[in-house]
Amino acid sequence: MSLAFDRSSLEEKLATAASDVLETMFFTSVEDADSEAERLYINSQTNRIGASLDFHGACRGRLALSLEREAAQGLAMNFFGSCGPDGTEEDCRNVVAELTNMVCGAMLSHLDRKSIFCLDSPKELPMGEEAVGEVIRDLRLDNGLLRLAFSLEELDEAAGH
Amino acid sequence: MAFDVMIVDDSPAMRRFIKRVIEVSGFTVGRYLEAGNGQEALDQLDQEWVDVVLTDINMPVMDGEALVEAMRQREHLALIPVIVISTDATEARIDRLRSLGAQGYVTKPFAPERLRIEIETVLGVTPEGALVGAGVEGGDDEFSF
Repeated sequence: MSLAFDRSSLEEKLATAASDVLETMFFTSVEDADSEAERLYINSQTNRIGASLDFHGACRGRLALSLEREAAQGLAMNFFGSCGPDGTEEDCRNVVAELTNMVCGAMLSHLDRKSIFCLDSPKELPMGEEAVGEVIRDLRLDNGLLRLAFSLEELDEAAGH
Repeated sequence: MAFDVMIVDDSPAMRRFIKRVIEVSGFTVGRYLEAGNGQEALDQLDQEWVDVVLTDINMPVMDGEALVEAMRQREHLALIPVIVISTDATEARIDRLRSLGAQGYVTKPFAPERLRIEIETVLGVTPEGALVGAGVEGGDDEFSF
């Protein structure tokens, strides 16, 4: 299967998918964070938490994301509301995993509504490892910066078409 | 009237979120049963009756499609309504799940109202106990989280 998307189109779909998820289910505002200063800031951060997820089916690839621990705590508190323990380490890991799952599912639905994809379980990124992929998009949330990284196996063929 | 609900999802965060949405929806729930995959769900459903099953699709061991199929093949589970809650919004997947016997399908991300409406439709009653379609007001009420 060939998904003929150029890089900017994939970046836009990635941002749209993530914004939909974050605004609808995590009740957080989302803005673009594409300045060089913000990229450098993310790359200099060490206290970040992240997850990655492989998908397959009509095409194969990976979505990874990472964000500052404080931002993850904020998302966990929004996601669970006030009726549970807020912002614990386990909450943060679970919420980042679920965020990865939802963003990936939304992204694939934006790419191709006719095909069936299977998503593996999200895996936590090792401490200090940043989200990497062919397409990178940074977003500013209420409590910090989120990095999204997406790769499609056919991306090199599709780029520029 | 209290309903017994089973939530099947390998994400503990998502199970907790769904419980919270049901609670703020105003449904009176007797028991929540939880399972991390389809096989765990079947094992519990062989012992316990529930009024509705809410299930994810992508799970280890036994996925949501296999769970729906297995339930429809078991006489004592065939009539339990199933609502699928998934990130997968592709038409092919939704059509397949409906053909297997899922009565409802909610794609993530979803607003809490969306899940409430789906549960109302499947159970046939509102959180207040009124029959769905009986001209009851309040179907579009906002939630307060």
